Amino acid sequence: MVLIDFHNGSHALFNPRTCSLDQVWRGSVQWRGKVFDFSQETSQSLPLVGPEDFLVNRLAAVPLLESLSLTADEPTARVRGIDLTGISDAWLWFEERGRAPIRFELLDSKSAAPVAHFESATHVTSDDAWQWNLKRLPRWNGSLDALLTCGTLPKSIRSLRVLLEASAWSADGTPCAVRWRGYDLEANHSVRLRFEITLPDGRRCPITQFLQGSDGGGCESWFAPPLPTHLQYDGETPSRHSFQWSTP
Amino acid sequence: MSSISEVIALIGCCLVAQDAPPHTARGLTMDVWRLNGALPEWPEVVQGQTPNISVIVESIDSIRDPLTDGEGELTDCFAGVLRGWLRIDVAGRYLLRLVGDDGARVIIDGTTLLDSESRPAFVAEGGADLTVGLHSLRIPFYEDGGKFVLSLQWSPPGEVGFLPIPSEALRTDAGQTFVTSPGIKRHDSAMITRSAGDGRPLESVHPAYRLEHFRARDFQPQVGALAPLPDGAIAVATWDSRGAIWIVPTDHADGVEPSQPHLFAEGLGEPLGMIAAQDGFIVAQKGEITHVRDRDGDGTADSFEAIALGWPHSANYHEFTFNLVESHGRLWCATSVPLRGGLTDYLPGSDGDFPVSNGPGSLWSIDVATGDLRREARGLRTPNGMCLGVDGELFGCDNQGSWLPASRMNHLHGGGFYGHQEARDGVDVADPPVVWFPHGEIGNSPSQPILVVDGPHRGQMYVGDVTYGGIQRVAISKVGDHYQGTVFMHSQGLEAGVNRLAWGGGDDRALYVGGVGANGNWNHNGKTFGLERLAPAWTPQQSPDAARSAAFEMLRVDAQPSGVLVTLSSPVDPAVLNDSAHFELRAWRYEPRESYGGPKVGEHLVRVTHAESSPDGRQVRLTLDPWRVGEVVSLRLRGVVDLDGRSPWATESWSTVNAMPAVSQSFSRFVGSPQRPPKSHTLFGADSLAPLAPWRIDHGELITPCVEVVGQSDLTTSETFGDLFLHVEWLSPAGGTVEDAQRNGNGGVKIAQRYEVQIMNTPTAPHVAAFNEAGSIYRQRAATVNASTGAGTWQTYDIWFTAPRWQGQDKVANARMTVVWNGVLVHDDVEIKNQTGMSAAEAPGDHPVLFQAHPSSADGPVKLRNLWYAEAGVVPAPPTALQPEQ
Repeated sequence: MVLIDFHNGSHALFNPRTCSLDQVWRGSVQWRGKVFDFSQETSQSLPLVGPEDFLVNRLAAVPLLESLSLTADEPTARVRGIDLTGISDAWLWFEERGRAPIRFELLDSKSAAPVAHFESATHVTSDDAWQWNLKRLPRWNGSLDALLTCGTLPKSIRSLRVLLEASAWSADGTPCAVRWRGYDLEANHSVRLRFEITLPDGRRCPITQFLQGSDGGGCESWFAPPLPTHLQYDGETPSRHSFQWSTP
Repeated sequence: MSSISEVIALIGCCLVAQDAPPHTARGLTMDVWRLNGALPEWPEVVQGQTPNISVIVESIDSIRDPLTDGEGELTDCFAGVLRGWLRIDVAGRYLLRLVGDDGARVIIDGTTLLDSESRPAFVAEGGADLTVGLHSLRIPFYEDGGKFVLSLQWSPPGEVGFLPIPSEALRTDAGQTFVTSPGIKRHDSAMITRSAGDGRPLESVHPAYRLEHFRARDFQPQVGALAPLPDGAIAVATWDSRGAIWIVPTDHADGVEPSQPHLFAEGLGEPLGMIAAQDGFIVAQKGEITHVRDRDGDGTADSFEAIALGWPHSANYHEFTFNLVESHGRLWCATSVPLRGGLTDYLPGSDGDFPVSNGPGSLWSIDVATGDLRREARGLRTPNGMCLGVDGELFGCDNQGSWLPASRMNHLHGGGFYGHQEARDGVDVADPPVVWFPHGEIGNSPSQPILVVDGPHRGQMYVGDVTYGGIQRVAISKVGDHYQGTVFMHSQGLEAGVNRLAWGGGDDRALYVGGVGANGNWNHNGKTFGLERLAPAWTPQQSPDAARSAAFEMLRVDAQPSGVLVTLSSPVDPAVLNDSAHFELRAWRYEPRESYGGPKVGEHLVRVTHAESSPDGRQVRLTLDPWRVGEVVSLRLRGVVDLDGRSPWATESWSTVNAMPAVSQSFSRFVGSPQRPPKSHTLFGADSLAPLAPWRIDHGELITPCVEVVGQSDLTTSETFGDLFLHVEWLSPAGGTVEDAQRNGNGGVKIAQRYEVQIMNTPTAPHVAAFNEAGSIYRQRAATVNASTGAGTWQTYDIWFTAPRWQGQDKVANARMTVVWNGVLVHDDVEIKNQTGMSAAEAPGDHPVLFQAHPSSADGPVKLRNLWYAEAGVVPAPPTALQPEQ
């Protein structure tokens, strides 16, 4: 991720995998990770709570299951309809408790044909601690069901959700491949982001996106002209966008 | 709140202050080392060794045996420490009660308050006035035999009686990776005494170098990467919250405070590899290779171009992108595997293992122009540190852990697999390591290797270590298809664990050392930053072997058909070397397993059945029983001193045996390179003017031109000579072709324009140098011993030449030559029957010396330096030259 501080109380998070803005927020950052505080966590945005705050959140987190226990009476569970249509990258996130791994069978929702399988973390810190898992899912242009089983019961699981990334760029409805090219620093804490779109006909289109903090608070985003007319960002023609809040 | 995973760039962000309170967790960290033997008094665990147990304990009210590590129960013969902080919420007088059987101490803020060792019933009580806040707390302990009990209770202000300390008041580093290793650990006690370099780590820098501090005192970098610059400055990338690149000046006058570094760039995500490039640097950061440039010339980077990205990786903290090396037109880096609790984070399934597959633990090459990524090799675990080393090949280190019973150095190449299985039930067979670093004895977290190009260790490699600390030395040879080598202690006493090494840029011949460290036990002596240099103790005017005897040490231990050949830096009484009692050897092997690290398997004594000293006492051949491929052999010198009475700088070595050569190496006759006498003359030196183009001078070195045809641009001296002595220093680069080996860094020194001593990037022994390779009198006589230090290193020729004798146009005596190659006599007053190769026909009279420019496919030009001569008789020939030719 590329994290930008506009030095006016707002931040933006740009995703080089999808070449799109993931989040824009007013607030700060809780720094975590090996070079910040030597934890094994990841950093987090800390938006201020209020109507002035704005989040794009293209990295969607779709909750699937809040909590579940697999028991002798109910040794299996099925999560239906994980829709991966048009999704470029997806991960299953969940927490489990206990040493025995959970086995996930991923099945096509329509035909029940097996697609993939995996088991949860092989190393846990203790019998009682909740252990996080993050597993990348195979690309699938459709919907999947997940069948959960465990060899040792009971087994607890919670906060099961799927994290989804979708390509922001398309041309005539067809998703386009993107390639991150880097950024340049401009005056006044503004940034020029550079990336490249591959159109459905194979042509490569360089794109420049400018991000600049605004005097009133927030930031502005715009693209350098000219862009192909059939190129779309989030299903719309790319244009200037303002994320603003009013100052008292 | 939402998570921000794997930040690779921070643009304009505020920083976490470096002196912010630590991120702590409840409890204290307990490290325990398994020892052996009787412990009648407090044992001192030799530093640099990973503990057998490393866990957080939330209660210190009653810790009893048995403890448990990966090998089973621990009831006797161990030592340990509880470490962390004591959190005080109410200031006042706190009474403490310690029970520690067989011994324990309470140390708060560096002051020892309690010691139970000599107390009745091992109980000690005392008190301290403590302010509000965090106070460092260490409780070392040990157990000899019987029952083990450890307990610390307190009585806070206003309380009566002793109470358990609540776990909330005990704090330790959060987010630690608990690194442990099996096996018995070394310790000192009344029964066992070791000294620096003999069973214990060294305590200072090798005498061939001077430790120099050159940076501003308040610049405290955690070094992720180093890149020397042509003007002599050094660029430092920092592995910290700032992710910066600093330009650090390296020259300052004595007594003057060094200048502050200049901030070139910041906002990089964990930069751990860097090379200098156009307008800036190319950097390996987490998940991306980035060209960082200053386009507008204001001295600060303003462009961050993503050259390559997209290899599969997750947000796991341990999936680093390590290193950046340029070779054969591509950039090379390596990735590491995800960890959870120190063990590989497998999520096994049909999509491959790890949280993501086909990416972690790989060697990658990148086309700079296109960003094309190629996965070249796999099976790495934590490949921190990589370089172009011996023979211009790629070498890197990998750290002990799952599937790696000990840390190792690898020869990295396309198609390689280096041991870390990509599935929990994986059975792929690993390439053998160049060397194992037996854990805690000579390594713990090895980092960057670097080829030594000059000085007494040229042709070998130095390797840093982050937790064992210091720099180790590795002497490598190629036997058959595999590289193998021997590890020696080299230097300690640096300000932090060593993460990166780089030779200075421009004229600077120093070795720059970058340090790093983190919390938990991933640091050396608790230090987290460092930047120093080791300056050579010999001058540019002296030959590279001038510092060979700075220390008495084992220079090399080379495998032979029946044992090893040990080469020493200075002579020893041959009677001592002929006595096998002075050599103590043990051997073992390693077996990979999924659990963290691994013990020595099948450790056994190795008998010296015969010890044979060379006549000059500089080498000894040891015949060993048993002597096996696939083992690590440790050798320890006992009671060996050199003829000046000096003890070895380090008594131990660790050799990895992948293959045995078919033929024994002969003893070599080391006579040394003569010191330059006053009555000598410079042909080319540091102050010489530029010769005729296309020859050129670069930082005091004479650079041979690229030519298409032999004889196209040779350089001849304006002086002519008859008999003479000539000293030449030369470097032949790595690379070339198998099809035409004569294009492999070829050059030559032609005395009288007719009698050539060959220059070439000939590999080291056990390769047998041919009659047209380095050291040869070209196509007439091969060197009697291969004394090569290998491609890319500075080598020396010392040549005593006797011109042919003529009567008129009739030759009545042939030319004769004595050649000493890297201090080793390789041609002893030999007769040269006629001109060598395609040189001009012999003729009477004085003739110039010629330096040859030859077509080459190597990775750079041949270089020359420090060329001087003397009239015949000024420099005495080696004593053995008095013997008539056999």
